[in-house]
Amino acid sequence: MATRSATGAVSRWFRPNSVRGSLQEPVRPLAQEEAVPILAADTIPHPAAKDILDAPHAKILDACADLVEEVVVRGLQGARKAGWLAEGDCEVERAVATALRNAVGQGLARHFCGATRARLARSLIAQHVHRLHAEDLALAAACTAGYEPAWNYFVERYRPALRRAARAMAGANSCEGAELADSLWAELYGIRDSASGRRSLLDYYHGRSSLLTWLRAVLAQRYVDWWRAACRTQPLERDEAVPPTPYPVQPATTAEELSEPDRAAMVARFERALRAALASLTQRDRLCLAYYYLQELTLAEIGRLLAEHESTVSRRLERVRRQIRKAVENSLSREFAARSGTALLGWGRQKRSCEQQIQLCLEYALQDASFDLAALLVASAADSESASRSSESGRKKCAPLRSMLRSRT
Amino acid sequence: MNHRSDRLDSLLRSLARRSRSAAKSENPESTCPSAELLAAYFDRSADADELARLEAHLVGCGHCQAVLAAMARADCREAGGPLCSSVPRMDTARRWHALVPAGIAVSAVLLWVLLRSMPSPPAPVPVAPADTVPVIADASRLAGGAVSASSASERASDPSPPSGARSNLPTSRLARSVQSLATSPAAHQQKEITGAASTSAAAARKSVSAGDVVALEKKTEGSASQVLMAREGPADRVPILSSEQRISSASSAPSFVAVAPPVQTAEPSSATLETFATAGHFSAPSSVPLAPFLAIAPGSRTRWRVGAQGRIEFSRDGGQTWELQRSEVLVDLLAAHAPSDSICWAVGRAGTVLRTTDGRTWQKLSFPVRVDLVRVLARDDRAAVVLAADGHSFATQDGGYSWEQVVRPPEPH
Repeated sequence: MATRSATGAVSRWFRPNSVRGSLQEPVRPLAQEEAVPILAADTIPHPAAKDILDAPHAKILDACADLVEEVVVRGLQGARKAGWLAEGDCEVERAVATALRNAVGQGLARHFCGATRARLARSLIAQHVHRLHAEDLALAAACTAGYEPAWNYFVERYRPALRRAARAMAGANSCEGAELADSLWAELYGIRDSASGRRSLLDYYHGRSSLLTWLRAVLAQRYVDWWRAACRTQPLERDEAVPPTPYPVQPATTAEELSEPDRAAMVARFERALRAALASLTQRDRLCLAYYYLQELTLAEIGRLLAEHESTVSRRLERVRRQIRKAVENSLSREFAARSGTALLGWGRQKRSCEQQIQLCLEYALQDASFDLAALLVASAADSESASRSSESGRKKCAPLRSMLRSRT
Repeated sequence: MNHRSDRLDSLLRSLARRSRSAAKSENPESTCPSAELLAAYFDRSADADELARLEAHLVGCGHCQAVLAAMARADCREAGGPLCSSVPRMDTARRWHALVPAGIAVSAVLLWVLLRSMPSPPAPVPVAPADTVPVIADASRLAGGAVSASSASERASDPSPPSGARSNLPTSRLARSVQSLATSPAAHQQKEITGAASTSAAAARKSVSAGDVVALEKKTEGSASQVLMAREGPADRVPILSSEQRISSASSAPSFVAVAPPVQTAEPSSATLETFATAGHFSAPSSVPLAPFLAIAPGSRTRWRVGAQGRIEFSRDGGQTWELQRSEVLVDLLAAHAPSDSICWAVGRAGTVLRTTDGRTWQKLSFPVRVDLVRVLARDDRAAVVLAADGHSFATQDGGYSWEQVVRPPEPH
């Protein structure tokens, strides 16, 4: 490469064929294919991805060069403090700075791609830039640029952490976790690509989170993909086993008092009620349910994800369960009451039979429900969305009427 | 109601199981956010609109939920440090750090065993005739002064004043006395009490001398330090009450001092528990207008006192300072008993039974009958016997979930 012959000192440190390592080059305009990521795991097909290089955006980003410089200064300071960037070596420093500048530029372009002009306000960009993890980004940029001490530092620092994370995900005894973590390193170092030389996974790190979190996210994606693929080929017995424990339902009273013995209908009714109950929850409540029941996270882990304390999560779960139970009972008893007719039975007896029916519904659903929680959550999310939309449109429809009334008064 | 929510929980679990097995065949959606965005979300550096979009996506996307779940697991393991069993190597310093709490626990247990095995100093036991009951009640201090005259005078001859008894009265025997305290100023109460004194000796026996109470007491050991006590000659004999305890149901509750059996001694059969002074007022500084019933935890300076309208106060320093505890009830509490320094039982009117097992929070236990409860005797946080004002006594072995009426064998004569 041209840079190699130009500066021998730098070429000693840098491996050739690196994408970001096209050192000494000015911030070059981003090529279109670079804006769209290559790896499947890292894909956001953004409808407006091709707008990245639209002239006004590029100009605005150029106008924020001072913000980018700020990040570069921060990154270099952090690198010196961490010890992988030697003090006083101007050539290397300049090279790292250039790589970092490129990385920040790419990140900005990517983040604000397809953004409206309003979102490209300088204050927003400044806010975004201030939040960047400059030190980690500098390390990543230097690694992809092929600066050996940075790579060594990176491996030394993150390899044990990544292995620990893999072990936490896959379980302490399985070797798959360690394998996954190790397989990641090849990609982090960079795979030879016929078109553009070496391409490292670190190219996709833009400093929006700490490097460790990002590595964990990538690892988690790999792990989940692998797990699902493995499950597809060999189903686990663990999931099918556990039969629901039977609950003593008195057959005599049920045969006597139930006007409708149709099991399937009752289960369907229960499903409807449950779905409506889930739709009445907030998004965060639904997410909490999903984490707890579907992903089987502990309260502490849910708290980590929802940014809440463990006890808050516990209270939230308790409240959500209560809410669901109440909503289901209400809608079912309303339905039963409407069905049985109020004239025939006394109030107390009717209430009792309602309760029995609800109980029975629950048992039937427990034994032979054909629906699953994930699907219910998705459906209820859609329900509540459409409900809120319709209520909005209803409000809009009512608005002229209301204004008419107001004007009349 | 509770079991139904349990059923809901298990239903949700089984539904989740179903969807986990369904999700196996599902491919990650192409619209899933990138690792970068997920990491930003995890680090809380995502923008507000990104956050909203992401959460909306997450509710419906099992794949991204699983990714975040794996990240949370990894993060919490990391943060959990020593709790994490999957970290194979620990440097020596950290290993020793982990042993510090264990070492403290072991030394505490050793200390406790040592203290327990040390014989308690033999104490002089004042021998009293089997049928006498010492009196602690100072008649003049009683508000109503309605003590039945004969028994009061008999008791007044007892030489031991409350302060003397308080200094140290070790206990080798079971001693029990119940005094008829006419504390209510109401005239009809007095009549009731005096009338009852003559007629219902048998009922009185029934009322307090429950065999299982004694059995319970035998399990708890120690010396009653702060009380006046009556004692019976033979230790193994079930004491018979010489008078009846009938607590008036008037609004002003009588004040008692209950002493839990303190320090453990080596001999469990020499159990004592005793009780019931009618200190007209309690000398400890208090803002409570009503003189409270005091329960002293054995071997510690922890005390509770209970009084009118569900008032419970707690002292850690032997009664110097008191702090109010929430009892959540408004009925008068008539008696309390503390088998240890973190457990206390309190009873009161209308079948009120309260219990604390951590020394701070009180829990109302269910009780089958709405009858005034005048005494309680607890062995631990699960087993206790309460005495009702009508003479019946009830026992629980399971922390108040079920109560059994105590049936006493008929008196020998």
